[in-house]
Amino acid sequence: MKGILRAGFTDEGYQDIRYEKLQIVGIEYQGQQLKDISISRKEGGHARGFYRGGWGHFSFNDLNQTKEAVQTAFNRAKVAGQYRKEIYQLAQAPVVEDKVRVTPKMDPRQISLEEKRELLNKYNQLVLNLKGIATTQVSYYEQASQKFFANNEGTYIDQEELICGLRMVIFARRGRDTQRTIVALGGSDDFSLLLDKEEEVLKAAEKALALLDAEPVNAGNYTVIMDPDAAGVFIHEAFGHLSEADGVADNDALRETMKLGRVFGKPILNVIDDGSLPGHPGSIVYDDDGVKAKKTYLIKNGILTGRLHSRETAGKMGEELSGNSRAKDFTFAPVVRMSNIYIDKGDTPFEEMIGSIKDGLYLVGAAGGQTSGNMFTLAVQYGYRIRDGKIAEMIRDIVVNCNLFETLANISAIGDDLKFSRSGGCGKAGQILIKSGKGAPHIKIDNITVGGK
Amino acid sequence: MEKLLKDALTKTKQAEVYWVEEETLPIKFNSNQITRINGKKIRGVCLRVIDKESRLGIATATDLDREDLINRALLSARYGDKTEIKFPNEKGSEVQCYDPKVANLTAEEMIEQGQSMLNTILEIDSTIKCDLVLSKNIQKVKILNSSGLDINYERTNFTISITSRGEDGFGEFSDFDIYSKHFVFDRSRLERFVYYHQLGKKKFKVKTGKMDIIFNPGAMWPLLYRVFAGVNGMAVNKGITPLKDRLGEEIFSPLINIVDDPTYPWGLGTTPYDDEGSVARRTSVVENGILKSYLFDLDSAARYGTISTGNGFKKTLFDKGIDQQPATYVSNFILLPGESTFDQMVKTIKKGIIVNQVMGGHTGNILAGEFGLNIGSGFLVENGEIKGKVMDAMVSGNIYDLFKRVTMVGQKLQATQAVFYGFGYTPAILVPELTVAGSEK
Repeated sequence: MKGILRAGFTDEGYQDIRYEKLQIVGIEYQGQQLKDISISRKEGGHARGFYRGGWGHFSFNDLNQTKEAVQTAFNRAKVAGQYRKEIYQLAQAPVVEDKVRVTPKMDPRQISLEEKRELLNKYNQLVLNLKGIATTQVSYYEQASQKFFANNEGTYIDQEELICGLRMVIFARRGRDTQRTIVALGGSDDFSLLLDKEEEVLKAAEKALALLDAEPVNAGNYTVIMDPDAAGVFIHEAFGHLSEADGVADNDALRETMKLGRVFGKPILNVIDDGSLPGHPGSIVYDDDGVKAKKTYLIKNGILTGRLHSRETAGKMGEELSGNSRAKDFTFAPVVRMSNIYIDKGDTPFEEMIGSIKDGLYLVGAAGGQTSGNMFTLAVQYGYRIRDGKIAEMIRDIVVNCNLFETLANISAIGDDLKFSRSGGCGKAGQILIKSGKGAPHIKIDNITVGGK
Repeated sequence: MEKLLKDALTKTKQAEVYWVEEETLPIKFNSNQITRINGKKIRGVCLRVIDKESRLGIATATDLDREDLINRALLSARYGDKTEIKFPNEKGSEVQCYDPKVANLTAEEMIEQGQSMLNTILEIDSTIKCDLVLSKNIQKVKILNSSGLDINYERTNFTISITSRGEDGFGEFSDFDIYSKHFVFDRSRLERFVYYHQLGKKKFKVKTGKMDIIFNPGAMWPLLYRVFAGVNGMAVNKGITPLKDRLGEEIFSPLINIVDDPTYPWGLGTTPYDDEGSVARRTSVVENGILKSYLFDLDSAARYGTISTGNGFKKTLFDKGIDQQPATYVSNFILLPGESTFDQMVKTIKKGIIVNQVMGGHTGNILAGEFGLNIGSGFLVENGEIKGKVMDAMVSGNIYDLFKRVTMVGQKLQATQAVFYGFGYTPAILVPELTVAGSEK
């Protein structure tokens, strides 16, 4: 393989190639209907060239096309380079030869399709048998890939990656009103994380039913507590995307806004991205630049101390590599992405946090979010009013929508109960990456805007 | 492919082979400078079988290892659900979805087009920094099935997307369009772009309360996506849409006419067939506010007891590709134009916001029609005059209320993009008295 991948390289500029063999297992129930149970196989490569600040890319299918693909990509880089006014160098990366193999506790590839279907069916029937549950969406995903990476500097990596997980959306209905909650399990190479989760599934179903009687939240400004799941998506949206250097490197104004050393929050706030942390959706050994993933402090004691880089952006900004250049698969170019981003644990117990609020909201479970510029939005599955330091009635239809700088500065307490979400997932540059993890303890935020009726 | 179909039929009752070759060429500029020429030329094949016990199975691959594909499809069928569907065999008609000019565009020509756009913008305002993407896409599709269908067609797409950067470096204003034929942003469109970009220098906060809202095409997709979610045959069968059992009822204002139209000339989703080989047809979804039809693929149609509307696509809000199961999705989802000009809409507003772009369209209780949209790009209007950019505000409500209360529908269609992919075409609309959560105390 090494020889095949290197066959097209010349010494000019920078050239690399990534070749992938993917096997994807998908099973999906929609209510009682089994909508999908299949194994897909895909393979192909992505070649890149870099010349005088211009990049060229080319995705293809056949291993015997690698030579032409490398040439096509490099020719494109030359065309783009001709038009460039500003020239920069890629950050230097160590030349490595390595072989990476996964060693799962319980390997999903050894489990039959039938057993996987039975597991889904078990959780599905458990919920569908409850009165008031309208339907479900239960999906199992498993993605095994063998990735070969080579560049014209001498690096060659043969890397195996594996992730499996289960996602369940539960719909409760009364009349014309439909409410839903979401459960996510797994998110690593270990199939055993999906087993014996009846309690968790039933709890989510009960919450979906309870939402039918919950009141919509009133629009306004509130002091809130977010649970680890909501807080994990919050830090992903409200800060993580902004720390991805490909949005910053070409943008002088944003470089100023995102200057290292800027105060982002109170001294209690620490935010970390760590791809080398094992067992989470975003855990990787090498990124798609062939750079090793590592632990990066993005915010330390409230101060901006680092950001996420590819060799391109680290070169442009003269900063340290972090191993965050990642593509969904061979049909895409790598872009800078979070691996596992999390808010580090603090020292406020949950009870104390709730007790400190006279009138506020407790927000539970992420239901999607988005970032654009200095604003972010985050939907949560459900919530509760907090009255006089106690959790009170359930509320619903909660969407938080805020300026991220103000919100990060308003984080006033951080829990001692750090927990990682079992679901990965992040969309950027047309690519949904399931291998993107997030975590947080409970956090308290003073004064954020909640939309509603 | 013919051989794959033949081999599959020795082991199964019905079979379908879907083959696609796709080529893309996106050119990206950052801060007025070219940064990369991206692209791919890839293919995929998908085999669907219905076995002797009427169970549906599916397998996909990027190479044509016939035996492996057939074995995986049979395995999938062994565990699969029973199905009533029969693969179709009906000849579609010609549609305008292939432009040789797009197919033949070179990277250099696209760079020149982008450069010329930037030059025009910089002539008007030399301080603007823009990110720009021009992209072309060519698809060659071939579908064969055991009912005798044997079709192939080609489609092209051309996209322009431009975003300016504000003083803080964040995205300030953006414009976007997509058609299956080549087009340019003319000078007046770029002048409008610069005008709105410059308005961003004047910033306003608003108080929480009711305001009149103009949704521009760019901000329309979350509303239209919720209509689609409501008429999606799968949701109707499951009984989880508020539109179940309401055909013939007046659900929206008489001003609202919505079609799903794969025959729309040069549309982003224009196609002679859907991804199951059903003939793609124009479906009137809402006519003068009255719910006329749901949308179906083969499977959801069979379960409902009707025929497919030709909406079985390998596409969802977040993903498209060979390994997507065909499911109900839109071709060109179109809100038909009305009578009002944009200026007329603005003039009627005492206090309101022109919402140009939103965030959070994919979140919240979509099936129930709920939306809570962060106004990523919006402009304050007072007494019929556009004042400047609205900061830190959010508009929320429910489409089943909103589309009842629309008072004006614009004349001019423009593409609207849902998350990653084009969704359809829509004019701007005016809705009085929606809830806005603002940050002004």
